This record gives sequence, C-alpha cells and structure tokens, in this order.
Amino acid sequence: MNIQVEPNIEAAASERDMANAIRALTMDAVQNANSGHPGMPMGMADVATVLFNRFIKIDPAKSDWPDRDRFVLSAGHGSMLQYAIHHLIGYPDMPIEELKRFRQLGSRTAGHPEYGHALGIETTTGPLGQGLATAVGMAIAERMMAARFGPKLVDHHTYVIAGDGCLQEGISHEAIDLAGHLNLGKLIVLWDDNRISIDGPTSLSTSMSQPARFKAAGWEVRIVDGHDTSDIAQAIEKARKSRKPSLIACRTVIGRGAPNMEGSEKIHGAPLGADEISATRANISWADESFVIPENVACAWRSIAIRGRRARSAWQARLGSSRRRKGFEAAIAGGLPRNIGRNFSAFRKRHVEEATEVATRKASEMVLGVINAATKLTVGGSADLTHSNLTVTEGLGSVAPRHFKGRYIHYGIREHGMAAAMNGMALHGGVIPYGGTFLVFSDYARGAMRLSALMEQRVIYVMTHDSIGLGEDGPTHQPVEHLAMLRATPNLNVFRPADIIETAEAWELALASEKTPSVLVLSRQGLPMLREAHTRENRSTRGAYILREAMGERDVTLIATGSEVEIAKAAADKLMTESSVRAAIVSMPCWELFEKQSEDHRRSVLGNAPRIAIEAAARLGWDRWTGDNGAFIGMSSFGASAPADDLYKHFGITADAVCSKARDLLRGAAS
Amino acid sequence: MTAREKHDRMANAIRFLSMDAVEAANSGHPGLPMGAADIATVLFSRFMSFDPIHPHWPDRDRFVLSAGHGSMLLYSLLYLLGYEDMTIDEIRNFRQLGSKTAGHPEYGHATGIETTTGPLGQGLANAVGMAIAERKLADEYGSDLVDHHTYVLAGDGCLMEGISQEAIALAGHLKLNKLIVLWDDNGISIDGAVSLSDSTDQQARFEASGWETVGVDGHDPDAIAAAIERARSSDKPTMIACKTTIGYGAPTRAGTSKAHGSPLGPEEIIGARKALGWTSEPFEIPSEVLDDWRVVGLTAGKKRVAWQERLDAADATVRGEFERRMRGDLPAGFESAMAKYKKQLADDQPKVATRKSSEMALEVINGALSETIGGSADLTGSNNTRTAQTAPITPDDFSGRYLHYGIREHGMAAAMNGIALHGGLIPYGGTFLVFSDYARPAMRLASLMGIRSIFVMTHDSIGLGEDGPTHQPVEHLAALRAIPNHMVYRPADAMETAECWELALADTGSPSTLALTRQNLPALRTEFDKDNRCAYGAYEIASAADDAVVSIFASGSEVEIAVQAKSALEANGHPTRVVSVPCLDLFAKQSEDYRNAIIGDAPVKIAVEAGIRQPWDALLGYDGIFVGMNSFGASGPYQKLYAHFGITAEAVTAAAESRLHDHAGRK
Ligand SMILES: Cc1ncc(C[n+]2csc(CCOP(=O)(O)OP(=O)(O)O)c2C)c(N)n1
Ligand SMILES: Cc1ncc(C[n+]2csc(CCOP(=O)(O)OP(=O)(O)O)c2C)c(N)n1
Ligand SMILES: [Mg+2]
Ligand SMILES: [Mg+2]
Repeated sequence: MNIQVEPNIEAAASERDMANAIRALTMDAVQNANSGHPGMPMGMADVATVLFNRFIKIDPAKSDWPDRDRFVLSAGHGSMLQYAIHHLIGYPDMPIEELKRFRQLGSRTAGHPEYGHALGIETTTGPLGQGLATAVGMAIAERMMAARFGPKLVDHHTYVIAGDGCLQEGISHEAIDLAGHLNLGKLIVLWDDNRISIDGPTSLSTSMSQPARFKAAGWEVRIVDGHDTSDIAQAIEKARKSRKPSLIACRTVIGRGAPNMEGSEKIHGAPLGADEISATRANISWADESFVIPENVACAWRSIAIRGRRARSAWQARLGSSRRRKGFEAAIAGGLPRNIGRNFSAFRKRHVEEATEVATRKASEMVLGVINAATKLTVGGSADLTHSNLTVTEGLGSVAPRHFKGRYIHYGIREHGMAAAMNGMALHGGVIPYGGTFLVFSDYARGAMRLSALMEQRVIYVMTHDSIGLGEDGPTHQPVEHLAMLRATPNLNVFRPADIIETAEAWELALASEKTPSVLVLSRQGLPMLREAHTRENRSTRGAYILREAMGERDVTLIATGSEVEIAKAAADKLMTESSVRAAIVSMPCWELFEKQSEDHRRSVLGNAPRIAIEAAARLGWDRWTGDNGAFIGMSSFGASAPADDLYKHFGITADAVCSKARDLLRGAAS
Repeated sequence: MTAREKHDRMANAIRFLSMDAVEAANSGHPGLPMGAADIATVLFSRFMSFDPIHPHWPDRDRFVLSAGHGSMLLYSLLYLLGYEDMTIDEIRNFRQLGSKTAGHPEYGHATGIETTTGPLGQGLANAVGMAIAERKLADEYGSDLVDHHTYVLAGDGCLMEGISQEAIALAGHLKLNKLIVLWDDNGISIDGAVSLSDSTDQQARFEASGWETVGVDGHDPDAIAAAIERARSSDKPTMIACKTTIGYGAPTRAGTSKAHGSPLGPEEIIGARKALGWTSEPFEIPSEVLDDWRVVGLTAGKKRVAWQERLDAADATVRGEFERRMRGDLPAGFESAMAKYKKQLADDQPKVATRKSSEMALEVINGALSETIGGSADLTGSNNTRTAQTAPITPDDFSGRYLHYGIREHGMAAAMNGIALHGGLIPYGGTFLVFSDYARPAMRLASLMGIRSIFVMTHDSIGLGEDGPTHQPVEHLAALRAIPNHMVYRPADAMETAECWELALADTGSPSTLALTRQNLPALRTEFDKDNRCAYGAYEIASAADDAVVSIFASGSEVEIAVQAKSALEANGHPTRVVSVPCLDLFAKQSEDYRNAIIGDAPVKIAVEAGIRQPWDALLGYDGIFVGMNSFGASGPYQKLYAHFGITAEAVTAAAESRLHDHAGRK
C-alpha cells in the first residue's frame, strides 16, 4: 500500500487545524451532554490526527472491509475522540446530530464506545485495559489469517490508544507479554502519557518506567512529544517497520488547549463550562460556533477516506483474482461447513450406542476432534492447562513466534488476557476462538467475559474442573458461586452437560450461537452415559428436557445439571424401589435456553409435583425453578480438600440425601 | 560435617516429605517443593524471625508461598520447625478430608499459614499489603514493636498473572524495601517450557517497577544467602531470581513439566533416594536432621522473647492500644460515636447519595477508630472514600491513612487482604461496583479466609447514567451474593448506610461489600433506632394500612420506588407493605420464624432491584414478580434509564394491580 508520510498536500488545513476540530467537537459534545470526558480527546487530538491523516487504512463507506486497519481506543472514556473522528472522516452513520446527542438514550454515541452501536467501532471499551488486550487478539488473528491466506489478502495494522489506566491494569501485563512473545510487529500502541488520572498526578500511585517495562516484554519503544506532528509521524513510521510490537510513549498534556484546566485532573471527566470553552476557543483560534467545522478542515478530514477507498478497491481487485477468494470469504462469513450437523449427529449416535462413559472434559476433547477436523475456523488454546482442559486435538499445531499456521495458542497463565484476546479474534473475524481454564478461574477472566457477552461475540469458554468433583486441590480450586455468577450475566449461555451426548449438543449450540458467547462447564471426573437412545434432535436446544419421565403420575421432579444428573438418576431409582415414589428426572444443561421457552413448555417439563434441584454449586437462582415448595441439594459453603467421593458425601450431595429430601417434601405435601 | 552437607540434608528432608506425601495422597505437586527446597532452607535457617510456639507473634516475619500448589514445601517446613499442630500424621494425611494439610495452603487450617494461596499471583499481591501494614504500623508504634520482613516465594505463574503487575508496581512505588520476592525461576509450567508462552525479561520488568533485582543459582545456598542479605539492606523491594530445577533430585522428571503436579511414582522416588543419598523410610526424618531443623525453630523464637520484653516495657496505653488493634477489637467509644451520629441523621434527614452517606459515616468512623486505612483504585472523589483524617500515604511518609492504589482493582483487593491478614489495621477500599469483576478473585479469597476487608463499591446500577453499559453493574449483586461468606450490603439511605458500616466493621469473620449509589436518595429512616435494623438483613420499613395484599421487597435506591408504589397502591385500596432488604446474606441467617414473618403472606410478592432477578428467587418463588434488569444497561441520563428499563413506581404499581386482578379473576 502507498502510505503518505507527508501530510495531505491538497488540503489547505493543517494537521493542527484538523486536531483542533477534534478538540472543539469534544468540548461541545461534552458540554451539551453535561457529562463526559474531554481531557483525553483534547490531549490526544494531535496524535490521532497524525495517525488517521497519514497512516490509517480504513474505508468509511465499507467499514467492515476485512483488511482494514483496526483502531482501538483502549482509553474508552475518551469516546469523543472516536466519535469526532468518525464524524469528520465521514462514516455515514455519524452525522453531527449524533454528536449532539452524545450520551443520550438511543444515540450511537454512548458514554463509552459500544461495539455495534456505530460503524467503525472495533470493540467496546471503557473498562480500562480491555482494548489493549483485545487488540492483541486482533493482531494475532491478523497474523493467522495472513498465514492462511497470504499477505495480498491480509496485511493490516492494529493501532491502540491507551492511557495510564490501561497500562496500570494487570490485564495489560498479560497482553503485552503475550504480544511481545509472539512478536506481533503490526501491533502499535500509542500511549497517552499525560501523567494524570482521576485522583491527580499519576505520581500519586506509580513510579513505573513504562518504556523499560515494555522493553522487558520484548517491545520496541519510542518516546515522542505528543503534540509534535512530525515527531509522532516518524515514530509511527518506524514502528510500522519493526518486527516487534511497538509502544510509542506520547508525552501529552491532558485537555491540551484549555488554558486554565489543561494538565490537571479537573479536565479528565467533566464539562469545561462555558467560560473555559470560550477561553479555549480563543487560545486555539477557533472561531466557529459550536458543532461547526470550517469547510477546509472538514475537507482535509474527508480526503482521508479517499485514500482508504483506493486501498480498498485495490484490495478488492486482489481478492477478485485470488484463488483463495472462496475460502477467505467463507472464513470471514464465519459459517460452519454444511455437513457439520451430520457429523455431530453421527458422533452422538455412535456414543449412545457405545454407551461411552467419560468425564465431560474428555467428551469435549472428543467432540473437538470432530469440530476441528470439519472446520479450519476454530482456534483453540488454554491458560497453561492444556492437558487438564483437554483443549488441544490432534494436528492443530501450536502458534509460536513467526509461526502462525498452527491453530492452538499457549496463552500462558493469563486467563484475563486470554479471554480478551479471544474477544479480539472473534471481533477481527475469520476465526472462532475457544479457550480453556479451570471454572474457578473464570473469576480472573470475568472482566473480558462480560464484554464477550455485551458485544455479542462468539467466544467459547471451556471451563473444566467444575465443582468439588475436582477433589484434592481444595476450596481455592473448587467453584461454588461461579455458575450463579455466569448465569447472572446477560447474553451468556452457560452449558453444564451431563454426559458425552449433552457435551456434543452443547458444542453444537455454542458454535451456532453467533451472537452469544458460551461457557462449557465440564467435569474432571468420569460420568456415565445417560441417554438411552439416539435422537436426531439436539435435546439441549431447549435448555432442559425430561431425561426420564416418572412411571405414572409424578410424585416428585428431580432437576439436575452436569455431574449431578447421575445422582438424580440414582435417587429416582432408589425412590422407586425403596418407597414406590415416582420421580421424573429433568436434565437442565442450559438455564438461559430454558428461560427462553414458552411458559407452557417450561411448566410441562418442570411439572406440578414438588421439585428438587441438585447441583454441586450455590443455590442462588435455583428457587426460580424449584418454586415455593421445592428443595435444593448443593453447596452452601466453600468446598474442601479431599478425594471427590469423600467430598460429595461430606457435603451431602448424594442419592440418599436426595431421597430423604424427597420423602420430607412428600410428607410435607401430604400433611 | 560441612555446612553444605548439613544444608543439603535439611533441604532433602523437605524434598522427601513432599515426595512421600504426594505419593501417599496420590495427588499433589512435588516439583516446586523439590526445586525450591534449597531456597526455603536458607531462608528459614538463616533469616526468618518466627516462633513456632507463638505462631501469632505480631512482629514475626511473614512468609507467603504464592506458588500455593507447592503446599508441601510449607507443610514440610512447619513440621520440621516444630509447629505443634503440624504433626507427621498431618503430613501423612495430605489432601484428605479434615486434615490441616489441604491441597493448597488454607489460612486458618494450620498455624504458620499466613494466607490462602493457590490462585496464582494472589500471594504476591497479599504480601504487598502485609508489607504496607508493616510500614504503617512501624510508623505508628516504632521499630521496637514493629520491624519485620515479608518474604514471598513466587513461581512463573504468579509472575505471568496480571495481578503481579499491579502488585509490583505498587510495591515499587511505595518503596516497600522489606518485601523480598524469591522467584522460583525453573522455566517450567504445566504446559511445558515457559518459553511456549513467555519471553519476558522478569528482572528488567521488576527493575522498571522500581525494584532491586539479583539473579542467583537457586541450588547454591551461599549465593542465595548473599542475595537475601543484600536484599535486606536495600532501600527498594527486591526480587531474587533463583534459577532452579523443578523436581530437583528426581532422576528422569527433574527439569520437566512431568514433575509439576503428579506423584512421581515409586520407581522415580527410589531413583531420587539414590541420587540424593536418602535412606530413611517414607515420612521418616533422621533424628539428626530433625534436630537441626528444630534448633532453627527454637533459635528463631528467641527474638520473640526480646520483643515481648520491649512490649512489656512500653507505655501502658500504647501497649493496650497495640494489643487491642492486634486482636481486632473495636475501641470503646465507637458505639456511642455512631449512636450520636445516627441521632443526628434522624434530625437532619439528608437527601444524599449513599456514596456520600458512606463518606459521612466514614468521617465518624475514621475519627473514632485509628486502625482504618482507606483507599481507592483511582476513584477517590467518586467513591467518597477519603475523609478529614486520612492523609495519603506516600513512598516516604507512612503517617497517612489513605492509599492511592492506582488503577489496580485486583491489586487493591489483594493488598487489602494482606493488610487485614497482617493485623492491626482494617482496610477499606473503593472502586465502581462493575469493576468488582476485576477484583473478584481477591474478593473471593477474603470470603474464603474469613477476613475483614471492606469493599466500597459505588455507582451500583443504571443509576450512574451516561457512562453506559460497561460501567453499569447488572449481574454484580448476584455474583457477589453468590459467594459464600461475603456480606453484600445495599443500603437505602444515610441511616441504613451508617448501620451497614457498623455491621461491616463489627464482622471480624467476613468481608463486606457496600453497594452504593451515585444518585441522591431521600431519607427513609427518619427515626433514631437503638437497634441496628440492617442487622436482620431485611425488615419492614413501611407497614400496610390494613392486612397487606402486596409485599414489596427492595434494596438500595429501589426502596424509594417501593415506597412510592406503596402509596399509589394504597390510594387505590390495596394495602401494601414494604420490606427493605439491605443484606440478603444476613436475612438468610435469621430464624425461620423471622424470615417467614418478613416474607409475609400477602398474595402478591414483588421484588424491585436495578439488577438481575436471581438473588430474589428465594424470596419470590416461581410466581413472584420481579421488577429489575434482564439485560445490560444503556447510556443516558439515569432518570430516563429507569423509565426505559421499567423500574419505576408506576411499573411496580401496574404489575401488582395486574396480578391482583388475575387473582380476583381466578376466584
Ligand atoms: C477497569 C476500570 N477501572 C476504573 C475505571 C474508571 N476510570 C475511568 S478513567 C480512569 C482514569 C484513567 O486514567 P488515564 O488512563 O490516565 O486517563 P486520562 O485521565 O489521562 O484520560 C478511571 C480510574 C475504568 N473505566 N475501568
Ligand atoms: C490463577 C490460576 N490459574 C491457573 C492455575 C492452575 N495452575 C496451577 S500451577 C500452574 C502452573 C504454574 O507454573 P509455575 O508457577 O511455573 O509453577 P511450577 O510448575 O514451576 O511449579 C497452573 C497454571 C492456578 N492455580 N491459578
Ligand atoms: Mg492519564
Ligand atoms: Mg515454573
């Protein structure tokens, strides 16, 4: 591609004017909303202007062009920087009216950039550090796609603007170490080194040498005056040539241009006020009314789009003549091969017939064998628990520095960084990421998992060792409240399959959920085959189903998930033989899908008899399904360290406990 | 026998106890204890101050095994040094139900375990809190009473985790020079070589964070000792990179990930015995070796005697106060100060956000208690965590009582745990409730350990407005309430906020989270009550005009809405009661009778909370009505959001009336 290092000649406006346009729009929008963060956009206006004016490769008319550069505003509170640029460059959905409706209900210009609200927002940011870590995933995906389809189709940069906050957050450590390790040379981070955060000068809480830290992580580092356009441009130019990821420390003044507030935390997150706005206008010689941009400045910004359009046309031509076109387009579309449904069905049929009895983590590995052979889109990984999570399959090949042909990533002991990187890969497109750790460490990844849900990304979390059933590692490793936490998260499907069949069903549903991330919650311990016959239908689709109806009218309904369905079944048998109590067994692998069913359907599954829920986890939320007279058998405290069988007995999660609870309930109902 | 020979056999005692215990349990991690045995031996035999007979001695050095999977290292040490509760039977019962020797070190299970570890990185970050507490108390009580080191043994995993960055950045900034981290630099983790996923120059990284670093051969006792010696005289925290071989001594598995986390097997153990010249039976330590270790324990204890003499000689009030604070008791006078404040509130009836109410309460608390130590993850003015009494702590001046933790929620929470564990201080710290996500692993550990860390979580719902869905908690109340032994308070006004603070401070066995609003709330409790009504978790805040047909349950900012709905319903002839639910956790602990009385038997039950439904299901059952959130939030002014998401008095009223109508129809 032909990069212009020198500013756009035909534009009469200087980059300084262009940057001031960002400043003016920011002040105006924040003032208008009476809420928002002017300091960062004003401070980074010069850097952003140089980046967009001279380097960035995007086409606002085709904002989802696969080979565009990715721009990530990790310091998401500076959202007006992004909105201002989008307006100025000419994204069709960002007219000035949207800027006037900054932070209002229903506008595209939410308080922080929200993926999907407006074109060109590559990821949702706001929770600090996430953008940076997400960008690492984008840059990985770029390398992997380039390895697969060649540089003619895939060759773009990922640019990040990060603030002090992003670099203080722990997730940044995980992200930059991974990026440095993998030599992600096309990742360029522009650090807004303004030495101010909310509480005041950053010296209140940090004495870090960020350049030294990034170098230690294998990055190339440059330090520039963030208000000197040629200094900035040179650094970016050099960074683009580096084989390592680059940090450009841009020394800036927060709120640059506001004569009385710049350089202070006061301008971080509050409107400037009318007086300071006038003073700023005078200071930067900006005569126009609020929300008005002089024509020459507007023109200079819009011409950036022309460069992008040309680049995209050239790319389009290359794609048109590429023999890899079909594969590339299919990958970007993210569709699965048509026959994969048949593969799943055959897999289920075979294992029902063979009555395969394995831990669901093992079942997951077996299913993955089918999936990874059927599609090249999946990219696996684990946070250093590959052989516990069983996330790797034969022949995937590892991703390593300079080797991106593999499809398996050793994320290191970095759950948070892994989850955020997976978000970035999913957002980038062309890959379907899945990654594993122990369920209990979903706590470490939470910040990013929530964003998968909020952004509606197909990210698949493989969370094994899902209860006290993991045994000796003890309470720090035994999830108790994690199912509740994940189920409480909107737009996140939590699957806890009970056997290999449900595991295959869960994987099938997870892959098909293009707008909902999934968590597969899997056992360490072996589990029996529960299905008696193969069904063509994926029975987990409705979230819960009657695994076995009572013989005759139901006396009690036992509802369970995962490893506890086995216990429910044993209890049902015992109730029948010992007390002639007729129990139905409901397996409920996914609450979220069950919740979506009609009330009638739900009632038909749950029945009117007293209900007992069984799950080796916290009760919170189960009352919804057990109802007023129901009971719950599960955990009411943290776990303990001991062999799994001892623990199930110790915590009273046994068929006997279920039976005696059932008898109690029936006695209560009779009296 | 040379000193080296003596060292070797002492270190080998750790190695064999570890191998044997893991073998007997058929589960566990031999690699780290075997690899780090030399480091631990040098540290304990030459440097650590502690007293096995008085394990809670306040001025002991703290040893934190951040790489908690190596628990057998710690258990071996405790046994060898003569901690009374760590018998050989406990070692034999490694990882069995009811033993003190859990898979990972569990605080409170055995003396000498300073913190629960296992989730990687936590121990290191706890240790930063311990070292802060040491400096702070030394500033208050002088080095005669407080002068000890905090040593950490951390693995590759600890250093890869993000929390380690937050921890070391804070420690470097505060110049915690009595914090010494020994890094078990064995180049191996579970998936294989660390080089599979990491190329970071750790020493350079620590130096960038303001640490001193030195690299040593982790199997050379004198080199280790020299490095520790140097570290102890540094004016910065020190990281000692100890190059080790994981599973040192195991003939075929040493240096590989196979030594990390599974029993070595009988053959490999025979090989190790040969290689290391160890002839004793499993679990048997030759008496000379045990004696060597026990002498270390006895000698170390002498320092405590001298310290006790200094304490005895101290001024009686200073001593009394020091001892009270170490016990964790609240001072006399606290109750009356709070009573006075609550009377004042009853008079003033302030209409303020509960984050502001919290600040007002803290103003009283920090005046009455010298042991509170506040802070925020860079949201001081938003969390309202600073009061007149709390000047900031700076690298060179620890006389303050406030920590600018930086934008490091996870590091903050873990440091708070370390401060609480150290004793003598009560930490509280703030961020936005939504960012409890970032701090969760440490918050969970506070619950598991049963320690008094108080999390001040403001901006607790869509009520924060324009910042939008990334900043608006929806599932967080559920997620926190689901944690065992975690008290989640969501007060409705200034009076409840004061009560919740009292409860949080009095609760020495549980951490608390206070969920507080950004937006203003009216005073709902307008009378002084001697009884702390929040202590019941839920109570009737407004009773029905007649036999209630509707019960409305609400917490925090939604109690106001409930009270408005009650007026509307009663105006329409439907007697309605309102139950304020500041703490579901405490409510669950009340007697069956109390709970039934509070839940009541009104035919229509409604819960209102600007969060997800789940925590309310236990109150509502299958049929109850929930008015709250079932999706992420949105960006807009908060009143518009409440209307948009249908969390209004009108919505509550309409839902109740429609249900009453259904019921009437059914009859
Ligand atoms: C994870 C997380 N924690 C806290 C916040 C709240 N917050 C928003 S901006 C900010 C300060 C950020 O400082 P910096 O990155 O230097 O931004 P600047 O003030 O320079 O714009 C904080 C603490 C957040 N958005 N995300
Ligand atoms: C937060 C967290 N993530 C994952 C794990 C699981 N885990 C336990 S040990 C380990 C590898 C640690 O490697 P290292 O620290 O080098 O220990 P070594 O193998 O050298 O003993 C992992 C991933 C954990 N305990 N905590
Ligand atoms: Mg800043
Ligand atoms: Mg290691």
